[in-house]
Amino acid sequence: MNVGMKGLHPVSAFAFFAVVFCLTLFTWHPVFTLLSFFSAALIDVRNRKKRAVKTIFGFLLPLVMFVTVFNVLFAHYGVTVLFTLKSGNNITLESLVCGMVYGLRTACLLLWLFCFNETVDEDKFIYFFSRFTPRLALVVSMVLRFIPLFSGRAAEIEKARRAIGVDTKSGSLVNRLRTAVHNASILISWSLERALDTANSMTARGYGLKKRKSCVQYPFRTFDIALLLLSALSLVLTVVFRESVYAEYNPVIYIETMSARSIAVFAAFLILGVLPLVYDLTEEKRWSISN
Amino acid sequence: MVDFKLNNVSFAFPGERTVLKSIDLEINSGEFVVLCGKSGSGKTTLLRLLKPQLSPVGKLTGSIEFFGKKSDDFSKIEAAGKIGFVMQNVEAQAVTYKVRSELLFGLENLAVSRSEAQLRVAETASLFSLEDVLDCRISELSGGQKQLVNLASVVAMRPEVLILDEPTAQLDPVSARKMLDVVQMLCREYSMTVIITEHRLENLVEIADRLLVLENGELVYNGAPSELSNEILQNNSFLRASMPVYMRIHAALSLPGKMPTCLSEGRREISALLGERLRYTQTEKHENVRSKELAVRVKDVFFSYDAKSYVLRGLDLSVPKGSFFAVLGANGAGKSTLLELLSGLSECRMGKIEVFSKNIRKYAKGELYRNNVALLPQKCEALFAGPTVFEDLESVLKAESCPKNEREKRIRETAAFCEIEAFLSSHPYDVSGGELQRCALAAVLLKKPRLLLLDEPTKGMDAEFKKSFAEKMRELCSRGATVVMVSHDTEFCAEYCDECALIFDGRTVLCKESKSFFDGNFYYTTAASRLTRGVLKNAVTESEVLELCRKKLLC
Repeated sequence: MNVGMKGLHPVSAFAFFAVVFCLTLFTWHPVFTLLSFFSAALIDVRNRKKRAVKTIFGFLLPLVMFVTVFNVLFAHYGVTVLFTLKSGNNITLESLVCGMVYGLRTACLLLWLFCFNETVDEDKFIYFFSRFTPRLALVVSMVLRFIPLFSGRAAEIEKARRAIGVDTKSGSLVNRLRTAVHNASILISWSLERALDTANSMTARGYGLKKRKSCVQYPFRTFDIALLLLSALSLVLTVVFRESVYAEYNPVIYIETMSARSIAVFAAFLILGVLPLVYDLTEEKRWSISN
Repeated sequence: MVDFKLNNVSFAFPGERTVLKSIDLEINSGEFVVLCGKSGSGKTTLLRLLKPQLSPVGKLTGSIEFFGKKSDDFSKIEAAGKIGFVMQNVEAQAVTYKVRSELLFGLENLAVSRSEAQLRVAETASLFSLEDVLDCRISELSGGQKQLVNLASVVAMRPEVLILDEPTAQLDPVSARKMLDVVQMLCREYSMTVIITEHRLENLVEIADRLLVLENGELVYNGAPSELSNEILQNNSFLRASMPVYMRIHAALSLPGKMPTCLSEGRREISALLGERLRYTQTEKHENVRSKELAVRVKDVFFSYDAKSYVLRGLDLSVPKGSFFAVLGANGAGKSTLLELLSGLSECRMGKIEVFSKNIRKYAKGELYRNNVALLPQKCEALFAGPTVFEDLESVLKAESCPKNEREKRIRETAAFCEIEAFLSSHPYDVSGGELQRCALAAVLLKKPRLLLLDEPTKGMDAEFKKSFAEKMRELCSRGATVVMVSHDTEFCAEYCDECALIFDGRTVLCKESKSFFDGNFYYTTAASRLTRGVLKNAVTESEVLELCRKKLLC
């Protein structure tokens, strides 16, 4: 888990995804959205291979179509009327194009979320937040511990009770409800009792005596610095040159023409989006050569 | 150097009787001290008094010195770092969700520097061979591994003293052995003082430097295990029951010389005593005629949890009616799976299971658990919510729509049988572990099962409870019920069960009447059998060994 994209330091990973996310969210230019989708798709396919392809074609593209159709049917702004429905509402080109951009943007954001999920694991997530609130990190870690523990206990309780005939699946509705509530009550009693042991275990190991200091360490590599700089660059360029990538769809489709500035913005964004993938691939090549 | 010094220490919980009475004790650095005593004798209280953060609240008279310092001078930070405490419950001690963060927990509490912490994690992980599981979630580990992680997270803080409160009670024999080996290594090779309590002392008497025996809050013995005299063992029934079989035999036969502390010493003693081979002839061979009628018939059963690997591969088993049947086998052999299938919790993929000559699938939903099958779970807390035991027992009857007037009568009847009348109005978590198990047994018996399934009932039980539990099971069998028990406890099975089956690799490897089962095995057998192999034949339980020895000594 230490190579390529998954070896990113939490801070640079968070910065990258935050920038990419915000830029996708706050821009309207279709080229921008397409570039975003393209880089997110590449990274996701790299991470999840077949499942990513399934998600993209099976879920995201239909989602785009759905949003487009929805927008066309329910938003009637715009001047270029394609045809008029029986009810008197217009189907306009503006709403069609706007719908497509909306849809693609939503798909984009979801895809970036998938990438985030694969790249940043729970430990990095916890580490990132522990920089700001160390106690929160411990709480998150404990929650992640207790969820499988409690669900395991709940399953044991359900089995133990079922094996003496107290079932939530058979009998009258009243009985089943009563059983379910009682089972939940058993889980709570049991967990509270054991929580005392957990508290004792924490105190025994000195919890609360000093200010807790996170001892987890992540290496900060050259690539992390590069990614941080590029994220900052892309963000700054897009903000400063925002007029050159302006687009609106209501009442008329107006997309700003390409200029040197807009090309700079798009280029920076594309490089940013594709950089983690390129890095990942070169790392893999390096390993396979050395092997 | 003296680590702990207790001067005339007495302790009482607020408003209750004195738990510890006038304890004078010195524990030296690097000693391996074993503490034993009945449940309720004050063991846990004594251990907790030695760990300042866990000290119970109450009235303490006398003084305790930690590493030569008075308890007021001993800082909390020192106490946290120098004294490590491991508890019985395997699940409840872990706080974080991954092994690595668990090892770091104590170090983060002490605000150790990052590089130092990484070093200690590396050290500790290598010592405990946890490198492979370092990034695993704790929920994915086995019970034995979890307890090792608990110990490792304490050891990472580099304590000078390790206090362990029944650490292997919930573990299977193999994991328990591994745990104790690690603790022994920590004591012998790293000079850690170890204070440990256990119910079963077979593995501990050999390595203990000192044995402390608590009875009713008083320290009745404080010395090396080999210095135990026959009189002490003969007079103290609890102590006798906790000691390994070779010590019990030494005391029962009043043999001269020091107490043997390991099986091979005991064996040499008995060989010297008896000289020639003696064949054991069962005088009153309780030739339990194997009932022709079968309570359970398992035929060629295959089962897997995921479609990849099969846990049961063509298992055959037949349990005669009215017998006390034991199913033995290592972890992962398929015992618990078998129990799940027999109790109707899962369905097998292939093969047939017949309970009382009727295919288990043909039973109606409620019918299987009414007067037919019932399972006593391994974790008895799974059946109790409170506020009183009575209400939990009532819920079992409510689920089968038993009329109100009948409920109380049935509950009182079953409570009388299980000897829990005193606890009916207590909260389930106010009673001890063994008592809770009896309450769970009552809950199960309310369904009037003809086939009672037990999932490792003797785990963590002390010798007295085991005996009374066995008596209840025999009583049930004599009333016509069949009891099928899954267990690791070979001694218990040899002593009380009629028939035993050994499951390995998803199949039944051996199924015989229990005495011949254990006599025929070389490794999977009782301590008494291993003690007298080659010297006595057919002696599987302690009572048989004693009988034979006495016969020989008389003539």
